[in-house]
Amino acid sequence: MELTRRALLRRGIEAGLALGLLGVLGHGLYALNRPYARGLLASAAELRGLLADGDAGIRVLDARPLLQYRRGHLPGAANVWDGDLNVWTDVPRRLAPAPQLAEVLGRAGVSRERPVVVYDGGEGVWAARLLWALRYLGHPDVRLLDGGLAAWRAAGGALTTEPPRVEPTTFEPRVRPELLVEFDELRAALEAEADVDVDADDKPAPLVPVDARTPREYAEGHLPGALPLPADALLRRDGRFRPAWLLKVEAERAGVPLDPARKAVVYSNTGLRAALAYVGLSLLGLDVALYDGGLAEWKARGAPLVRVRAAPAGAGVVEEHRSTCW
Amino acid sequence: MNAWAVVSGLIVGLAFGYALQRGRFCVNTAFRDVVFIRDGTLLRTWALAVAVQLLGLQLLMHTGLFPAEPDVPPLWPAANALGGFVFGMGMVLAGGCASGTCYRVGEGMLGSLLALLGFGLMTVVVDRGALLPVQEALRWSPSSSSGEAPTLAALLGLSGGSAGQLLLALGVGGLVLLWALWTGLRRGVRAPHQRGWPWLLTGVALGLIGLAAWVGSTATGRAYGLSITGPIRSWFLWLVTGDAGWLDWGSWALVGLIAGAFVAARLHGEAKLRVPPPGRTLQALGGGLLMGFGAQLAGGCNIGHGFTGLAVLSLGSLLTTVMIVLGAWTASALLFGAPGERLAALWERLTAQARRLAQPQAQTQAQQEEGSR
Repeated sequence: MELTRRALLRRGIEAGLALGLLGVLGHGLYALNRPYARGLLASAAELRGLLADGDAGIRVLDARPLLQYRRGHLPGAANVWDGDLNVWTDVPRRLAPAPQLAEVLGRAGVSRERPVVVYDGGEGVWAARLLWALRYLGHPDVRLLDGGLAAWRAAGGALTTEPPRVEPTTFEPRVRPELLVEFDELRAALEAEADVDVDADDKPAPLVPVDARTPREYAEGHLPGALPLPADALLRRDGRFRPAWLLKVEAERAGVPLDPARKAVVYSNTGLRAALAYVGLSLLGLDVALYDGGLAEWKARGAPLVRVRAAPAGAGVVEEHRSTCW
Repeated sequence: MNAWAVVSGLIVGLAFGYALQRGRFCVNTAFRDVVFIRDGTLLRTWALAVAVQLLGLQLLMHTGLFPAEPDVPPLWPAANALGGFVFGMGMVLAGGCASGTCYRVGEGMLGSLLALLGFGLMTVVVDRGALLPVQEALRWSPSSSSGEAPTLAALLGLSGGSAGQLLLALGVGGLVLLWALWTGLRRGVRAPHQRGWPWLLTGVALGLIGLAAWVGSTATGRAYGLSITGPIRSWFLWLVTGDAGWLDWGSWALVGLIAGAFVAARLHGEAKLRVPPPGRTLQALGGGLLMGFGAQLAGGCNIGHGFTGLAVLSLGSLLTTVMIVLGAWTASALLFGAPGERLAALWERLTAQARRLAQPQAQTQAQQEEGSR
């Protein structure tokens, strides 16, 4: 058959479409199988294997209240409760001074030489807060048990009420200030951003505030320029983190720049849900810091809040784009 | 929404539209041909496409390459049944199913354009307008004790991700595939009267496009494959509210579909603006309105339910698809020729089949095909 120009064009376009389809398929499968950033999570099965090996190197920390801990915990786990790590002043729940933290952690047998795995009941926030605190204090290897105690049980892990033998250590903090943002720094950065002429071809603001509270709380008042990323959207129903591709979709939906050169500053009311968002965004390999004072401090200092303007018919909450047909 | 959703949606949509136009694929024609000219070519194309997509998706899911939980359209018995039936009648009046109407818009048929506009308008009217009470009244779900998505697997008590579920999917998909190939290949890869692509190519291509749609769309956070009703609704909602949050992967795939059909038609000298006679124009508009009403009520059309939803063996999609077929046959019988006679003949054939067989649908159709020769 003689190939006319038109026939060539047809074949070219058909080949192009086929290649395009292959590209979409390949890219999609690649994106869907995106891995987590390494060294943040430990699955229950993984931890069971490590503990069963008698690998005594690992220090397991239980971040639940003492009473729950006493009723049954992971073998060898020491208890470090949120209340011992934080102080309540005019602003609720702020990380305690480093020496106090070092003492609490030393009593629990934590040292920088031994890897740590933290867990809670499956809520995620307590373990995430402890993970963030340990990283802030310069611990090089802290991981979170994905799904907490619930996942541990589901994986067939045993619990014990036997108190662990913990040899107190000396924990020497090496504070990493880049993981914690203070009020003054944040406010100055946000005000500087507000002054920048939008049309000017300036570098994007280095700090991106991310609000980890619910959409309703966000609508009622958030930090200027903050992006809504509810902590709930980061977890599956069973308390494990959502897969990396879905975390990325949620981050993109919120508008969080997936650019390691910019720093996301997560906050919530008192820094619990923010810690969860800290882990979630870190799993994507982003640079994340936590604004520990949170909305509680921001309000107490009288700094400006932004409200979402009420939709004409709505209750002041951004309309959810729900699919009612396919 | 990120730029990738636009690019990937457009690419898949372009391929979809191209394949639809080259294969003249329209389930309205498919269902009508079976009964009225006793030709199963397009029905086989559709079955082949469904089977390829179903097998591909289930294999990807069970090998872990597709780690997402796909959206399963809910089961709303009343809304699925009534919506599917009305949609089926509407597409006969409009002269094309949802996908058929779209590719004909790309070919330049203004009657189809009018039907598409009526379709889109009604999705919004039913979803949030004057007819919302109808949707609210009819969209109830039977309570599910297990809390699992309403699929054929859940109905049979097979839990998600189990080997039984995979076997069921492979069994259903395999039967449909074998039926389409067995009955089709005896007649050759191209039916004698077919223009454009042979049915075998169209079926496989559409199945693969459906699969690429599942993967590409899910990667952008929309855990579903090809659809038309949702995307039309999204464009109308965007037009009415100005809220770009409604637009997603599917919206761009719809744009790609029409553009792809235009490219295909243009390349083959088949693109031309055509205006139907006045009576036919009104009929197309009426058909489009009915299609929009039915598809929105049922939660999807012959693509969202009758193609994509079948890939996850959704019960709502199965029910809707059956009702679309019944609606289409009813309207065809009423529209073309002596209605009573046609319906009686149809009823006779169906009950004869039902009496003879209590076997899977695929085999039923196979034997029906045998009988029709």
